[in-house]
Amino acid sequence: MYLSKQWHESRIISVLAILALALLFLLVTRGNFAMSSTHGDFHVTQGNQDNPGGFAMAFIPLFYFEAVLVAFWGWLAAGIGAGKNLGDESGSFLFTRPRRRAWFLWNDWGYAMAQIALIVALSNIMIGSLLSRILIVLHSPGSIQLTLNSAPISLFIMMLLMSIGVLLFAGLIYGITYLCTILIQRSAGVMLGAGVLVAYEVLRGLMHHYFPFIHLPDLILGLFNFSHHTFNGLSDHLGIAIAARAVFILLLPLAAQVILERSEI
Amino acid sequence: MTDLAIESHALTKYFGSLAALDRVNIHVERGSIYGFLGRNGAGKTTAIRIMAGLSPATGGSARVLGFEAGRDNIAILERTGFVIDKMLLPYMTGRELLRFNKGFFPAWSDAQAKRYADALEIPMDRKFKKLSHGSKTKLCLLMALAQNPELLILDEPTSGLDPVITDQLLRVLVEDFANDGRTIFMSSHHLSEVEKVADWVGILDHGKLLLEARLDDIRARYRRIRVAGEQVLAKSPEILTMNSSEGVTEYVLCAGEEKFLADLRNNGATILEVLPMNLSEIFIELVGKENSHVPVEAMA
Repeated sequence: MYLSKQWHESRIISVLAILALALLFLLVTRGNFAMSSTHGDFHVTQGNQDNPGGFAMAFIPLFYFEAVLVAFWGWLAAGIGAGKNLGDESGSFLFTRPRRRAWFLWNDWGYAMAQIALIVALSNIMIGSLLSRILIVLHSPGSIQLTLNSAPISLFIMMLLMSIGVLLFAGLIYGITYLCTILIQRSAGVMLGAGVLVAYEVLRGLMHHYFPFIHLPDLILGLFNFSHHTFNGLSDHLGIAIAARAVFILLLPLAAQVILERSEI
Repeated sequence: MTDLAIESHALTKYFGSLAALDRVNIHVERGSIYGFLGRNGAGKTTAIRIMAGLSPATGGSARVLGFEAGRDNIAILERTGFVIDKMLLPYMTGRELLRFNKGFFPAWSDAQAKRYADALEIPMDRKFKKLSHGSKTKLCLLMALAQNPELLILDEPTSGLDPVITDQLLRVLVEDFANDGRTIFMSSHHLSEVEKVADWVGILDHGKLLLEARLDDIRARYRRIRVAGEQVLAKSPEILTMNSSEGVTEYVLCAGEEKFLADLRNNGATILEVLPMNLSEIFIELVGKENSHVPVEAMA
């Protein structure tokens, strides 16, 4: 029942997501040819010529590209939930269906997060399989292994981490923007959400410039640790950072729930 | 089980310093058709939104089918069909809306939905946003009726509709729904329509309930009396309004016609006319007069 409403509302942006995935596929495929011709560049390693750890460098542009694309989808998706219904005056119809307001909100959130997870999973399966083929081309099949501080780390784990990073970023963007749509009770809350995100980035830049000892976290989770464009492994305390972000992302719909349950409709 | 479908006690709602509802006591008997009358901005929609759980009351309480509004919202919404803003999900067709709505209500009837769609001639394959105003209203009503509620709460259901559609809707409401012994609570400022279908009325003005009574009682008790002479009898609790001009005094009485006429005669007045009043006339007298308030007990 409610799923049919969600599908109706998100059809267009779901098609957009499929087109974006296709674009990503094209980019990765073109990258494949470039890598084949200049595979020497991918041996920027941690000092060991046989260690393809530097291959992780190739993930970074892909990671950011994918994160921004999926987060943009999340930003769009935030504009079509309960906040939109409140804005187009169908809120009194929706919220006189016999369910708690929280039920509608968590359905919106769950549906969007499931779609984000699906998009991330599909795109990373695609990227992962292509990267795996490249690794096979670059190295003998037996040595397809990345190492991290001398410990082996599989391509699967790298892709999984990348998926978590993108999911958390897109979830954050979706959560903040959805909260804004509930706050102002209309889909134009997406603009407020964008404003909040831009304001945060400006604040972060100012803090970095004037108070360098105060470090505001980046909107995108830093998965990898670099120095002088060299991959030094995963970021410190990555598990804690992931957990903290996950908790913060869960707090956003909870805040939206508190606001929605106290709202005049 | 209480005999009242809706009951409010000192229901109050403030928007800032503005009292949209001021200690309103509503009593809607089960099985009745209750016309909730008032001018634009009188507070009718606010009261309905509180009953639907869309807006919290500032003070007092409202019970719908025995459940407390604001606390037992799910129980109320499962048993009550609300038509408030006459706006459904704009991008869905009538059929899609029926499928969407069906899952929320265990007592939903596809057969009734189809019957009402045919009877009300609603184009079910057209998107809601592309329907005419009349068809939108009819579809909203259909959605509420097909959920088989015990109570229908309608906010200005006939507003902006042509007389043919209004007649269609009122017939469905009275003949199909209310004849089953179910309750209808409808707000309106179309007095003639309410007068056609309602058996109880409540008149709200500036957030205050000025009158609540059976329509038959109101018709039987309200009188316009014209008397020769100016202010022959100036004081009586039954006088709602009094106007004197050109040697004639006109009284509007809310009760006690016989005693009042006897008092007039005892004062030597010449009674020119005693006229019954319709709902529109009573409404205008009540809401047109500052601080008009007819105690409920005077009419019950």
